[in-house]
Amino acid sequence: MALNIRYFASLRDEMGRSDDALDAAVADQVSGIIAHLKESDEKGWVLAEPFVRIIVNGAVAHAETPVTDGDEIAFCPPFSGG
Amino acid sequence: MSIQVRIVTEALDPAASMAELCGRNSEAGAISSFIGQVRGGDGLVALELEHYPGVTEAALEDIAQAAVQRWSLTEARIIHRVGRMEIGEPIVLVAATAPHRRAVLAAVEFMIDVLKTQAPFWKKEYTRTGSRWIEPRDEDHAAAEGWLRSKQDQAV
Repeated sequence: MALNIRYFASLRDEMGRSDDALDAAVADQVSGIIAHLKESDEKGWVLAEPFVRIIVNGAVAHAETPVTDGDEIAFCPPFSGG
Repeated sequence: MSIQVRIVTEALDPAASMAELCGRNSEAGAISSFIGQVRGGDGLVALELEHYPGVTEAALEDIAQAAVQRWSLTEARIIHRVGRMEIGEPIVLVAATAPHRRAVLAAVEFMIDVLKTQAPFWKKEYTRTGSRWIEPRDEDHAAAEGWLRSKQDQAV
């Protein structure tokens, strides 16, 4: 098990990959994941931009949302459907 | 009352979908629809739509459900295409049926306005010189927020 990280659309392009599997010990809330990725990846700063929407296990989340082993955490740019 | 939400990868056929909706519910005196299609111009060659499988469908179901409850619809339908589309191809069909016209006209406007900024879709434009991701416009946000705010007022 792990924290399953997904990047969509322009954020996938920025990060250069569509997903990551992080050790669950890395963070116990979303802000910890962002801090880890800012530290470990030179492109990780983009995940802390104010426009980024975060979805945890299909539900809208925010920096303080708790995360645990097996969760799916998605980083999304603004939606533009229709 | 019924809801139909679908994400499709093949060409959308709005006429067939509307033909199927018409006449099948004797309580529905009014039917309305919106079709969005790929707009040409500015060197556009094609459009690519991406979604978040599972999560996008759930968001569309929430939107359709909210419309059904708010306007007492007999049916709400959202069919959205993803993948690469050429100019003139339909992207989305939103439709509503209800006993009377005001309900369906408002419900369709609500569903497309909210869908544009509240359901996880992303649009990429391909032009003759390259490609770029499309940001939602300020007026798209304002339209969705207008509906969501009026819902709060209604609750008060």
